[in-house]
Amino acid sequence: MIDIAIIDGRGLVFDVKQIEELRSKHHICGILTGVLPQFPQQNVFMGLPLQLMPEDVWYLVDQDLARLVDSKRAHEEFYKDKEPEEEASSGMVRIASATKHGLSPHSHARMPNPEAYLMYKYLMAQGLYIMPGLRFGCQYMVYPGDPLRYHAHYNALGKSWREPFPVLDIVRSGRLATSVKKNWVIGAESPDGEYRVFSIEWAAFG
Amino acid sequence: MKGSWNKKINEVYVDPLPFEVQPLPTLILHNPVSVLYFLYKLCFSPAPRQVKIAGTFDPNDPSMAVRVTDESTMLRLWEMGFFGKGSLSRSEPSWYGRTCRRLGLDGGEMSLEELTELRRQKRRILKRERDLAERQELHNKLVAEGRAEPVNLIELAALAEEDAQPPIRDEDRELVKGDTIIKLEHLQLMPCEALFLQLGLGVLDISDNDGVMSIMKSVESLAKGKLLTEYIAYHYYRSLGWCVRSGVKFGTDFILYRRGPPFQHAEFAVMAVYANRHEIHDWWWSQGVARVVGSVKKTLAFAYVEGPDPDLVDYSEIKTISDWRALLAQYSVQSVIYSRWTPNRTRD
Repeated sequence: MIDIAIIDGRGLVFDVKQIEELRSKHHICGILTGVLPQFPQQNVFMGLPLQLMPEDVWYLVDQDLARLVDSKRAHEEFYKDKEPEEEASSGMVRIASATKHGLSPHSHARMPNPEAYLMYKYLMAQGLYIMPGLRFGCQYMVYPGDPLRYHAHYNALGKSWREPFPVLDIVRSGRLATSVKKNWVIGAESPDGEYRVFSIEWAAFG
Repeated sequence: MKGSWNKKINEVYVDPLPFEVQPLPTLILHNPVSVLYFLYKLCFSPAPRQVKIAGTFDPNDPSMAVRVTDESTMLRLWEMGFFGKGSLSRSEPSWYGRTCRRLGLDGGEMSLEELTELRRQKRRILKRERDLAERQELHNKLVAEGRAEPVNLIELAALAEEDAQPPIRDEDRELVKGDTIIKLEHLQLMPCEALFLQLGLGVLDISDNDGVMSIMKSVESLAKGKLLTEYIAYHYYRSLGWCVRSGVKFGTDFILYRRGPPFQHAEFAVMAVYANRHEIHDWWWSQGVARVVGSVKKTLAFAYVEGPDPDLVDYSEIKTISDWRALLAQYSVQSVIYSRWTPNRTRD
């Protein structure tokens, strides 16, 4: 079981062993967001904790692979019965002690966009690795294997089946993906319940 | 070459808008002849002449474009302010000339599309030759090691090339009528371009199936909702003297040229946004826009249009040109420049 601490709606993992398990077993990489206390503006070589996308959090809980922890309550209760000396010697607080402070519903975790989440689940079922696409201007970056070993193959976007969207978005996303040697993939669940995806490539003619 | 090209385009694209204007002569105050000539010209030159244009609008056409079919008008609209797009061309309606040249008839000078194609072709050839040379070198190495027969790959490729010359296509026969080519192309005006020409400059008459469209009708069909936001941004930048063209190829609403496409590349890409409504876009969306625009070396601007909600405006109330002006007067535009900034790449 992986413990995901929910702080301000964000899902964070503080345990290296669990991060390793997430990456190697469940195809979920997340993003390291921790900085050294002396360098609050640090933006390279980040450390613990690992931040997960809302989709990652929901997926893990849906698959019964993780549980959510109310971080604040766990912290308070951990210290409640302890003397100050004991507190000092206990060193770093292990979130894992939260076994009994489990947060059953998803209530405190940030909700993923439902259309996007369907796309996420579809891609996960294909055994792909998914990372947030903010840096590349898309919803998801999709990797065929571990992002440390592969470049992304697709930029993905989940929509609902009859949802209208501007043609400009097709031009832009297609162009964007092609300029970085990727395919733009757009998908939605069709009325018959099958998830369908289309890939679009920019062909410069003229 | 460059000098003569500049001279030529400066001669062709004199007028920034479809008006014919007589420029006043230079005034030299201490020269009485010059002063007299200036006054004469000032009093007796013809007033700026509007170039009247007729366009047609088909309400069932999903492209929403206003068509201009007359050939000389098409050319004029392009040369005087760069309005519209040839339906079979990248921008300037050049299909006729291109087809004539392709079929070996005299079609005048090369168009921009052909120059691009020529440049791309040269690059393709260069790349192929480089690739061949590399392969030949590799092959020579194998030959030297005694693992392959000596073959001249470059000569082989040249032989294959000779066979692959494309002949005139079969469809081309349908284009020829007598000894000329049928003119298939028309000019498409975006809704905002058509409205600007009709109501802003007063040079365009748009007709649909029932004859010439009234102001109310054209406003209703060409300026509703999101189109009004776009029109206001378009009008704003045109008023400031920019040459505004569609930015669809870069995934934005407009691109702004200082003078026009033949002179230099566009400097800005613009997204028109209605400011008083909270239009929800994810952060990655604006990152995507900024990336595409950045990769073509333009600056991205968001034009925030402020004023009454375009979805709630009663378009049936706009019957005269002054109603239209009164509506426009309620709007203002704020441009915001947006750029992608990566902290760990910008740090010294």
